Amino acid sequence: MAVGAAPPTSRFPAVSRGRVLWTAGGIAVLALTVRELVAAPAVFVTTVLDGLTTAGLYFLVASGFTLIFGLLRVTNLAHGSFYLAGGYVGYSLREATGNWFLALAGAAVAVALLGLLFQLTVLRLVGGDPLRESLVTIGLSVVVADMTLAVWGGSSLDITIPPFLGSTIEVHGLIYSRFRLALLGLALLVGFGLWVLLHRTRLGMTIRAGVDDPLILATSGVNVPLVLSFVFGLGSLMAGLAGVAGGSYLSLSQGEDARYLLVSLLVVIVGGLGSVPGAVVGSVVVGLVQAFAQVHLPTYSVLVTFGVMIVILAVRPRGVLGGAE
Amino acid sequence: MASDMTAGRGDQATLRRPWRAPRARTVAAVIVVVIAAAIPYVTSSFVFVQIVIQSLWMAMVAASLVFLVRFAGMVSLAQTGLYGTAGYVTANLSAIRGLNPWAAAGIGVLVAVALAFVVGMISSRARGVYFIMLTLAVGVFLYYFALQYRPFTFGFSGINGVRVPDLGPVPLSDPLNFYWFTLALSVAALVGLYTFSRSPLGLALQADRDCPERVEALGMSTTAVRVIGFTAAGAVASVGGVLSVWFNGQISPGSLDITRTVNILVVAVLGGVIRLEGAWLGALLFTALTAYVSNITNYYNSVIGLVYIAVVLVSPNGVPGLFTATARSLQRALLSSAPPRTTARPVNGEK
Repeated sequence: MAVGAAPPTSRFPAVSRGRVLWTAGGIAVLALTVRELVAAPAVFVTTVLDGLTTAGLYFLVASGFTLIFGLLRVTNLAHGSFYLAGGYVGYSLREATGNWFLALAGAAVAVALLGLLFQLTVLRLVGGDPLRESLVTIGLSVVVADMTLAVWGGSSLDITIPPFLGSTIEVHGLIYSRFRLALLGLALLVGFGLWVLLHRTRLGMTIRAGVDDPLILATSGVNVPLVLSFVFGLGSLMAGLAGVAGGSYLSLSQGEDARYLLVSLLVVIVGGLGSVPGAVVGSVVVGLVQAFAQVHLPTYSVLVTFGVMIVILAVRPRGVLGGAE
Repeated sequence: MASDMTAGRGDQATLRRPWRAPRARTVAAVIVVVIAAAIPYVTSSFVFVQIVIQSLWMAMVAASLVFLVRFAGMVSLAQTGLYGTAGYVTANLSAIRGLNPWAAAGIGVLVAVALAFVVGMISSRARGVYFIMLTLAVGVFLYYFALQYRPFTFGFSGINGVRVPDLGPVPLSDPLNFYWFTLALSVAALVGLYTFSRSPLGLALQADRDCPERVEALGMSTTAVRVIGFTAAGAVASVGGVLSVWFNGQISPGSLDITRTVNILVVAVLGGVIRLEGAWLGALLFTALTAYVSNITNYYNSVIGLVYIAVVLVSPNGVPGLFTATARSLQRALLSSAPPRTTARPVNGEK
């Protein structure tokens, strides 16, 4: 039952098969790109932009998920619920104060507190068994779904976006939504912030050390439980942030929690669990695949995304950037 | 003489043990049979249909999960998707395409088993939390597939008007007949899963759960063993799916959404993942809890979620584990004057 108990596999056939599949995949992607570019360049650019902005939203959701997994080894199956709760809280704050940025910050903090409370009261009790911890989080997702339904109802809600982002922007005859670009900017900003936190601060160093070996970290005098709680809070904060961003970009309704849980799972499965660069790769792949699938095969877009995930898993069982455990 | 005596003593000791265990088991079996036979006649029709029969098909799905957790160490969250697949195929073929309902059910189970094989192939290389994530992704994906692929699943509203077929001269639409039918299938599933777990393949599966490296060192393919185990469990889950469609008369994406996945997990956890029978107990507790709590409050999903969290926190072996733990501590308190017994009872599994 140990997480890292994967049997050692023989490397040689895997590498050669992997290389063949990678090359085949690369050629297929290249061929498709050329075909799209020749057929309809404007549509191609718009689709790529759609894919990238979606990827930005997916990164916001999944980076928190992967951060939590990386350090705590907890698959937070309530992550989608944190997203939804963040969106709803943001909606109420936006309606009450009229300030979108206040809603963004307030919802993120509120969800961070919710996550922290859960981690401190429940997860710590389970402590140590990643399987039981994951099972507990799924219980939380049921409670959160029921509570949000009770408070905000079942109909879908939109968070009004700030007016200066509400219009479109035109470059060389291409018209694109300002808000979507701003979303991409937010994702880049958050990604940069995470990078600075993880690689340029003492706290980040501690977190990275904890990912590698929590035991050694504890013996060097670091209060590991405190770091764990901090990271869980941070991961929840990202989910809350993503909830407001996503709720402004699309809409909020019951069932979105499952959708974004699936997104988080897909992104980290594709990119590699527990690594933030992996979340970047995963969200870009999933976002682009989804955008193109929606243009060409709208009925089967979920199926296409899933097929890509399966192909990547066949080649790299631990995701594109997932190292050996 | 001396050797005779020791032999006699040894015989007594060996005699007493095998005697005691079957007797307790037979008593329990007789009690269960009596209760099962009496239930239709002593319960109100609401309790009988909404709690008892409902719990029977839920238990089938949960039993497949308990089997996987207990004997293979795989916490699969794709079981709901599998039962939903069997349900959808059955519903579509019988209600939309007008196929013979038994043939439709057979094809439904076959399709779901084939799907279980594929899902097993995809996910069996992963273990632990990775396995949970992969199977959850499969489960949620099947939900979205049911929602999006309208030509076959009819989108949000699903497929309605599925009729329960007759078993020869016996109309299964009568709740009493349906009860006996489901009960018979439950027993068959239970016996089948236990038989599988004791077969060489089942033993290999348990060995793989405990130490995959050694299984590989013995020359067995862990992937093959896990895929077969997953497929066998999928067969039981898909029979549960057919029963659920016949029971509800309809199927919609809501039948396989994440709430249902959690419900099945709750049933398994309530029953404790030690014995397969626990699934039936867990299902009964779950349906009863849902029925009564939904009378009291609208937030019954929250109550169920909290009960589930509490059970996971307090008792890893579910409600039966709670009882045995209480009984054991009571016994210890009562017999505290007696010398402590040191005979360790064999512990089943590590979880």
